[in-house]
Amino acid sequence: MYTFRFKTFSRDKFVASAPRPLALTLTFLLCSTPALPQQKIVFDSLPQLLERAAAAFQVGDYPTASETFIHIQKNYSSEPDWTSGQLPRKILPLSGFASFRAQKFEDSLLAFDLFLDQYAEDPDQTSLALYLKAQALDKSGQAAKALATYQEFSDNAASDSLKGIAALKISRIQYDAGSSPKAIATLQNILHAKLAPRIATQARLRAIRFAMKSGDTQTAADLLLSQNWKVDTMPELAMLNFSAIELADQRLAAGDHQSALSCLQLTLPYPRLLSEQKSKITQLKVRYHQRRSSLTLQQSLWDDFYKQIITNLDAQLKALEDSEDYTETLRLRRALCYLQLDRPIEASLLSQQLVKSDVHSASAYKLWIRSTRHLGQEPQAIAIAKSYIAKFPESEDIYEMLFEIAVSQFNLERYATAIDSFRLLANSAHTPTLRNAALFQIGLAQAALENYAPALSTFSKLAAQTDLDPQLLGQAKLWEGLCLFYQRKFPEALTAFEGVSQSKFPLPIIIEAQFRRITCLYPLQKYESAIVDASDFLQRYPRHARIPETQVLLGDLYSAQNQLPKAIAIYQQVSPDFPELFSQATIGLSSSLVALGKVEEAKNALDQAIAQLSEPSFVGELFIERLALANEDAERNTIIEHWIHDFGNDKESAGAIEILHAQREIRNEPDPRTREYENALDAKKFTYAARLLLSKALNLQSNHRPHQAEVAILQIQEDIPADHLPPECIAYLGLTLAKIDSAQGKNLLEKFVTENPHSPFSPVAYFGLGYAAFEQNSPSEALPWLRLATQSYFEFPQAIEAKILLSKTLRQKNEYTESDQLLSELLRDRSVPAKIKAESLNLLAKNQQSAGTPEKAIAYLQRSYALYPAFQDTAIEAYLLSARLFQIIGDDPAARRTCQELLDRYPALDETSREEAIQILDATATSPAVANIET
Amino acid sequence: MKIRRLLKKGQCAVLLIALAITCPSRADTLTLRSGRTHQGLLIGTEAGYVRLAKLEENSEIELRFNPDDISAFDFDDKDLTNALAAQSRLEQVPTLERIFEKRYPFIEYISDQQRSLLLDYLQALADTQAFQRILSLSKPLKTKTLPADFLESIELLALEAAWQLGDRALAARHAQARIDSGKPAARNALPWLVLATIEFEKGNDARALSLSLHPLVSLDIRECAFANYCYALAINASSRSNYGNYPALLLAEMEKKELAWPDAIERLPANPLSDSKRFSAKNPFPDNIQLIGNP
Repeated sequence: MYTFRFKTFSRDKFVASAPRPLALTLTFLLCSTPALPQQKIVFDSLPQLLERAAAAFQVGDYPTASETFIHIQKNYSSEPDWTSGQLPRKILPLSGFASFRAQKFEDSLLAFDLFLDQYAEDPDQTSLALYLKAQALDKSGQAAKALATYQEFSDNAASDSLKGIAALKISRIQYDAGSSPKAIATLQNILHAKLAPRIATQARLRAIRFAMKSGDTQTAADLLLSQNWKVDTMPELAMLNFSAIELADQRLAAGDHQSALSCLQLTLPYPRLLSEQKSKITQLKVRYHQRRSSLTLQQSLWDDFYKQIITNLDAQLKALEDSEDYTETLRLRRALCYLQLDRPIEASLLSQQLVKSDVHSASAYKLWIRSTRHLGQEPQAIAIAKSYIAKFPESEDIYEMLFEIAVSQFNLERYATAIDSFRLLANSAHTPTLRNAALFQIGLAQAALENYAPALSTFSKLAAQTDLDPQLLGQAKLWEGLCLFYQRKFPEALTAFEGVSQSKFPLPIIIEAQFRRITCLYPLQKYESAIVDASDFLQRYPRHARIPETQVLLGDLYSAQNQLPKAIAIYQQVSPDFPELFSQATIGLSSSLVALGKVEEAKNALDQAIAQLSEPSFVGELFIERLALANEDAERNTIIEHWIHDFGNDKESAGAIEILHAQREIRNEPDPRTREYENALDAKKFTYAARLLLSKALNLQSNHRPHQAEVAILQIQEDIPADHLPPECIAYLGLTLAKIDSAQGKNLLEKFVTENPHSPFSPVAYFGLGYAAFEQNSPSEALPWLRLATQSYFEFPQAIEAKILLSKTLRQKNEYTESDQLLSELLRDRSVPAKIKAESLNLLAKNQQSAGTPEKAIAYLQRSYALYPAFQDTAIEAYLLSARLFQIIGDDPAARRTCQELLDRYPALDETSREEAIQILDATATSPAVANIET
Repeated sequence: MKIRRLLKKGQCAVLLIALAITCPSRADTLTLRSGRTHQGLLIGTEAGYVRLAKLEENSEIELRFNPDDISAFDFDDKDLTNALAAQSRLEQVPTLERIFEKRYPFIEYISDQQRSLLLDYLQALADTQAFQRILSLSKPLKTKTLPADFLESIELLALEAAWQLGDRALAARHAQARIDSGKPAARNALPWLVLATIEFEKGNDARALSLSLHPLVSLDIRECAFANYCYALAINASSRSNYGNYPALLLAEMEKKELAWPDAIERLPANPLSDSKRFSAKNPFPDNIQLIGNP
């Protein structure tokens, strides 16, 4: 039972003495009442009534206390002690309090109103009366009046803490009235006022709940995460825990993984929370029981505050005890957040813990696989999936694990194997979702192999499925368009993209289709339409990831339409935050300015862009462009020196070959790089030194000094530490080593293609790998490398050599048509040197020979030696092969004629060829056909 | 209860003096489950029995009690426990040592509250860097039947002592044993920190990073000892080996949690010679997959 204190009451004198406990006060009240003049006796005397009221109050019998106090008020209100105000000043607050506790809110309000209107003097009593009145109003459903009274209480409150309690009450009324923003604002005021930690914690938690219930998860997250929680002093751990879990779920659903993770870090493991909550409640109850005996009546509002907290905590504990252990589920969510936040190490650690716990096994394994994959450890990812299958062979989730294995195969660029794996799943997986996903991946793998026709067919097959998820259907439709686009079937691709952009697919797919549509219009030269669409795209999706690309595209479109000022304006909008596109836009800008005769402006634009870009891989092109605009050697030298200083020794730098070629051209020294090379080595600028050697080698090669070029490239290997070699040097060194039959070359090139899949020097490496395989009599292995080399977007000096080798490989694989096609292209190409054309004719002949059509072969050979007699090697080869073929088809006179012509044309014929020609002549000398002719 | 003559005649005076000095007005008290109490001098345990010496009719006897029969121990060391409040940490050490010596023989039988002062003694030794003493005390303690929380605290103190004394091998053994026990890292990250530091010193940054992140992934709302050290080590390991965005991410997280960078760890700059390790899976169509997703 409480021991309230309030000012002592006496009939003769009111002494505003120090507060005394209620028992003492009531005793005093009772002792002092017998002296009261009793003018009117109804049933009991006033002292008796007071004694009864006090006794009832003391034992918590509030209905009796209330009734008795009201009785006194009704029957003794004309007593002098009443009229003088001394008695009602003491009794009315007690009466109001007792009525309130007895839930007689009307009576309570009457008592408090009377007290506040007529008798309130002491600020503490007034404050208490206002608080209780507000509560009574609130309980009796008079929310507006309660609000005003709490506000009045707050205005009159002696301490900030009391104001805080009022604000808590006010916020609840505001929230119940449907105004959660107001309620949250009220609570935020408490937080800003830096009140007692317990009130601040209550306010913060309540504001979070209100924000969450009203769907304002951002505010809830801000409140939850803005500052640390003083967990050692706060009892509301379960409340905080539940709020954090709920909010984490909401933030996860909204894709805000950082906030979700921060929320999850505010939670406790279930067993720990249970024990902590019990301990906190015990502590709070002990503290409450220790303090309650010393609380005055005026401080009873604190009693109310504590009781409310304890009631809530008990309810939370009950709910907690009834709920399931969520620990592992939260761990899973944490792992997911880490994975999404590009933090695979943490995701992997957590998923391994989950795997050990054997809860959520399939999800845990999947997360472990994905985090391992994210770390670039695909073989390990496959091993994990396999370990799940071995552990749970009966589980349906093994299909998911097989899917993960296939994804790893895809990521390891083992596309053919991946296709086989996905095909197995597409046919047999236990859910249509997985089957369809597998089918989609088959299409992707086919596209990755650049087999666009089968890829298109796969995506079409997927898109034709009924009841397909709109997301997947949209993706499949979009990929149909992409496959057509990559096959350069732009009209069909355009139709496909238009179809997608006009459908009701998820917005990201529609936006991508709209962008792709513009990229189709450009090669179809529908510039005006493309300009309209690109402008519209920029306006509608100003923050989309495709914006910089669209800006460059629109600039190019304006350039194509010769609307150069517009092109310039749009190129200038491309942000340097996208280095590659910024570099492209700057080159477009420079070209447009030059076309308008503004060369100096173009130079300035390039200089500024070079100053802005620090990405060595994209700044190279700008230097090359800038060099092209330079008027004098001095200016060129300055530009080259700038590049050498800032980027020359950077392995990532692009454009090195072109820039160093320019350097060679403007210097008149016999070998300008010898001194520079020594200096670079002395300064340990090994990357730059390697580039100087490569530049020298390529120069020698273009001057038809291949052996010296080879020596220069091999010097790279001798002089430069391997880890300083830039990609271009690795590619050429690998090729050179492969050509001299070194296994080291093949290893180097394989490493290069793995580490630099999109390098402009990839074709050099592909060619080297194809060459090595061809020389090892492995046409099947050589074929894909040579195809990749010859189909590459990037130009390289050995491109023609690669085509010749490809045609030879194709012949070995009996692929005559394709080989013929390739050689015919070389013959048609005016840029192809005559010697190559002669060789191409010989190869065409050999194809015909292999295909069993020697007559056609002879025709190609005759063209070869007739058109290109200057290239002795190919001509002699053509003569001899032609003669042999004549012999084979039985035309010995023609064979003899051919040999004779060969011997006549090349008197200094090498011994082997001469012997072969003479042999043919000898063999055909006795032929009847020859005899006939001679006769 | 067993009773036997404890002392020979000549030794009686010694016990009397000891009792007189130790408890001029009070003595240790044992309360039995039966409600009976016995006062005297708690002198230790033997063969699983608690020994209490007392004078009876000028004769010294030793009473032996089965611990199962004892409901409470009341040590005559209140003057010592009361003195602690006014003492500095350094001054507390000898006081706590006396309490420890008095209570240690009964450590398996006394209440958690009475036992907590023994742990406080070990903690005071750690605070005053008497690490060798901790190691010598912790070894026999770990062989006793004690509550898991208490043993856990002892293990951590022993680990810290070994680490502070520079005995890396011993610290590593303690740390590994603790990790192998499967106990969570939420409150104390020292075992992982020890192993991570050893790996970091060997130059195994990947292993150091993984070990130091281990306790950090399980952080909850409670404070975790040595969490800031783990963050610092993880940042250094990821900086030295250029692990993508990890150093910046971890530093931001550390600051958000208001964890101070430990003075004992020097902040390393990023290693420009090391290739940046990016964690995005390979894909031939990065743009398309990013924008329109992958099933």
